[in-house]
Amino acid sequence: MSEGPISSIAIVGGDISAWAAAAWLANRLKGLNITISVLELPDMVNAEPMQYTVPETLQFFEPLGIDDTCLINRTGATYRLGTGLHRLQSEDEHRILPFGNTGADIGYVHFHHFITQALLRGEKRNLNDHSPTAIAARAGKFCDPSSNPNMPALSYGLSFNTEKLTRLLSDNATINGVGIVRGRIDSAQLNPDDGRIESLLLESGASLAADLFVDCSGEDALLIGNTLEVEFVDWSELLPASRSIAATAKTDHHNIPVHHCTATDDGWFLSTPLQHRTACQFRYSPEYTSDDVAATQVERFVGDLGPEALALSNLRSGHRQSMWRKNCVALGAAAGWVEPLDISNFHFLMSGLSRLTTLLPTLAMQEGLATVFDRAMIEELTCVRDFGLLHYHSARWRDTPFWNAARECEMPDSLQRRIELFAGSGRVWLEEHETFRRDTWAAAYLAAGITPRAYDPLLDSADDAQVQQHFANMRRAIQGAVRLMPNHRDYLAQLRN
Amino acid sequence: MATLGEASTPASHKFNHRFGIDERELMRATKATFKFGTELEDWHVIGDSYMHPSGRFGQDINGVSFHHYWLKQRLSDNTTPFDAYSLAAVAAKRGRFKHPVDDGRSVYSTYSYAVHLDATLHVSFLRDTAEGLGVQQIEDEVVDVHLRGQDGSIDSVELKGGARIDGELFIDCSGARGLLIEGALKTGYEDWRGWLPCDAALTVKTESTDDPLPYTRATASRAGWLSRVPLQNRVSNCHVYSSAYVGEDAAADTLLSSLEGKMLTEPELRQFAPGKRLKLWHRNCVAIGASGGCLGPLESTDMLLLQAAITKLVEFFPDADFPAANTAAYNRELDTLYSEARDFAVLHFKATQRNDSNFWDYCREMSVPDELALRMQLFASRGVVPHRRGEPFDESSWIAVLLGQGIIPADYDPRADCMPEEEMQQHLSRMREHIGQAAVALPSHRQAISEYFESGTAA
Repeated sequence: MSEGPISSIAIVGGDISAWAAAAWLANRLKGLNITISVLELPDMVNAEPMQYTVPETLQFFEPLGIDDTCLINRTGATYRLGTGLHRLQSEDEHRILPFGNTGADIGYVHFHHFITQALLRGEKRNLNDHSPTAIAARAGKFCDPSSNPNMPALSYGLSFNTEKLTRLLSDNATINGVGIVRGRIDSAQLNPDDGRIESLLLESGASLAADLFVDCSGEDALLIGNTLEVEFVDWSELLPASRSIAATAKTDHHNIPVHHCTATDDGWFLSTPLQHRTACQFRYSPEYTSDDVAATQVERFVGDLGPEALALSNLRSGHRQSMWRKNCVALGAAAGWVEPLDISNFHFLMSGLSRLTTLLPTLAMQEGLATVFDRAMIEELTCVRDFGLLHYHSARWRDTPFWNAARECEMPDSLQRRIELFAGSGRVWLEEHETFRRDTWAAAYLAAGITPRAYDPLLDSADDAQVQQHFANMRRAIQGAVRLMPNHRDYLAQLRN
Repeated sequence: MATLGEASTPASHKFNHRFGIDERELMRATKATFKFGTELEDWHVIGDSYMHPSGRFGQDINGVSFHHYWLKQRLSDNTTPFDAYSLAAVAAKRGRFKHPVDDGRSVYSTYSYAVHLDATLHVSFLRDTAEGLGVQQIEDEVVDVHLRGQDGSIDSVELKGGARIDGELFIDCSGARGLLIEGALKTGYEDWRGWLPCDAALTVKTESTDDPLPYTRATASRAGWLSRVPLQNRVSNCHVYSSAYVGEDAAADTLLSSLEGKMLTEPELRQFAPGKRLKLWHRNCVAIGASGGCLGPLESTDMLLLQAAITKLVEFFPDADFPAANTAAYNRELDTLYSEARDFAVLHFKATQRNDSNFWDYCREMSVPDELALRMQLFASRGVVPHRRGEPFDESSWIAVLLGQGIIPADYDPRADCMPEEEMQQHLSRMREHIGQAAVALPSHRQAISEYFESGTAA
């Protein structure tokens, strides 16, 4: 068996996942004698025009020495306070799923039980009225919570232009010593004894050898899929909108710092406010909607199309049965991808990288590492899938072939269990590797029209009048503070000066 | 009445706080002492011992766990024991104690602690506390359990005195026999004796011969292990053994020959069956304590699981509908906790090189649960400790026992090489010195106990 540390890593790809991997590994493994190179595949393009983070993703930029201001200045990023859901539960539904905490726990009882209690009493009460992040989002306001102690604690992510973020990451990687090889793969040389990838033979005749291969080749999964023959677990029956048309609107449609998810008869739109424009994506299923019809819908929905051509792309929801096989680790869409209803694919990429460094193998390629990696990755993606499926669940009243097909799909056990727990007792089940927090799950269940039949009985031990008063005061304080915040737009403009 | 171990766990502070139990009162009432961990002697090989302290080892550097640096240093012939990097372990061996502090920058924040307590007095203390809160005690015997026709849940229990006690929720604390959960509901039991072969315990109390140690001693015997739990003026001695490998008389001989102080009680036998009820919550009945399952007294797992079960029951407290998904969620959480605690206990028996008795030959060769096999393999190959938030034992505990039981990783985390060798050596020796000095500055255990009680009286 081989011994000693690995001395070379080859990253295969060329889109954002490859450069995020290169930048991350170059920074995290600095000081070790590991040569990192990227095999940039000429045909690789970014499948998605925008990238999004949840609040927890931002920590992954720290080790790269990239802060928020740099991200905003270099990539034209905008802040993101949550997800706007439109026309899901009904034609006139508009609601926000905010990031961060809502209200506060009452002793050992989680806040959302307080809302359930009110709903069961027939009072009209909304979770979002107690979320500083939701209130700021609705008002189109923003401020950096760390620099303004008087403001309520906002929780935010960012939205990026993919091309610009890719460039920022590739610059960061190159400065930190990552080498680039360009070319197409002709074939892979496997070790006859243990089946590991020894080297890649390129069409140019050159060859690229490495101890560890990182497959960032997107849905093609050139190494983990083609070479190592790991099966794809297809989720596109559950999440059927596998095709998208991307477009840009000339104006900012929304002026509030969230990304929007709007249901239509044939699929749904994803729109993101940029500085003075809106990035749009129509997601649909080629099975029910032709590309021409989809394009017409885009024109109608967007209204004021920018000069850029409509861009068509395909990505199926699902994952590789195993994301680490032999000496090859798959990341990004090569590992797995979920229809971006709640856009956490970039988070999935970065948490995969973080896991890979924690589990960094030596030449012995200890086999348990892959097991631990796979488990965590698949669990994380499954949680995200289930969260997204809740939105499909909301739109189940729509009677069109697209939504009918989604509705008729059997709900996965993992989600069924979660829904039953929430419906029966108002409790939120959390797995170990969740992307979304308790309050966000609670908001999503309520948004999907699932009202619990009961709240936590412990809530009855609290003094009702006192609790009511407390949250009424808290709500007023939040509203007052939000009024004083700058507009998101002004805040961004000032940051760029 | 079966007694429930004789030590709390570091998680007990949270439990006590949540349920309004004053720790000083508890300690006073139960003649308690502080516990910085467990010293395990002769488990890996005879003559070898290690501490499993309630605290961290060293300091992580650049996001890489400390033990990887220790492993790397070992390669350069530095044989400093791992224990030397734990303040709790060093202070324990020096017979010292002080409460931890909150300030994360202080070395005194690197540990937690538990307490040793008299099990019988503990029960009285909890009974008084419960009665003070309005719980009514009925001393009687259950002669029958009446089930409801429609769903088979428990309607009432009938007492020998003739009374019938109705209830919506029944908590079965009747010990291993599980009067309600098994006797009435026939829930079923998963037998874990194949992994945890000890099924009997003989206990004797002796007079203390010296100041109480701030740690439990657990010494492996030929067919089990001996525990010595120091109370304020007594020591509770126990021989936990496998009845398949040694008879009661021989087990008693082993216990008696190990005693250091004057015997105060006759050996008392307790038998138990390691395992878990198939459903810890079934219909309207929740099994808590030995009626739900038992792992044996090693590492206070039973106390830990008991307190976890109570906490989770409150977290998943039902309404009158008893939603099935709520019961299932409770069972799922508890099953995970039970199997993780079980695996931690099994590790002590499995990872051994002892070959001096049939008992140890069996333990060494037995197959273990898949999850434990994976943990052992990952640690042995690359020092990785996969860990879940909310596990009964934290990462430090796993590392202490894995290393202590002689599983030395073949490779350490390659990222430990980011730090130059010399810098690392200096770093580690500074940590060691710092811990050594910090330990010497602590008051003696005896003094810490009396100061704690006195300060309580003043306040």
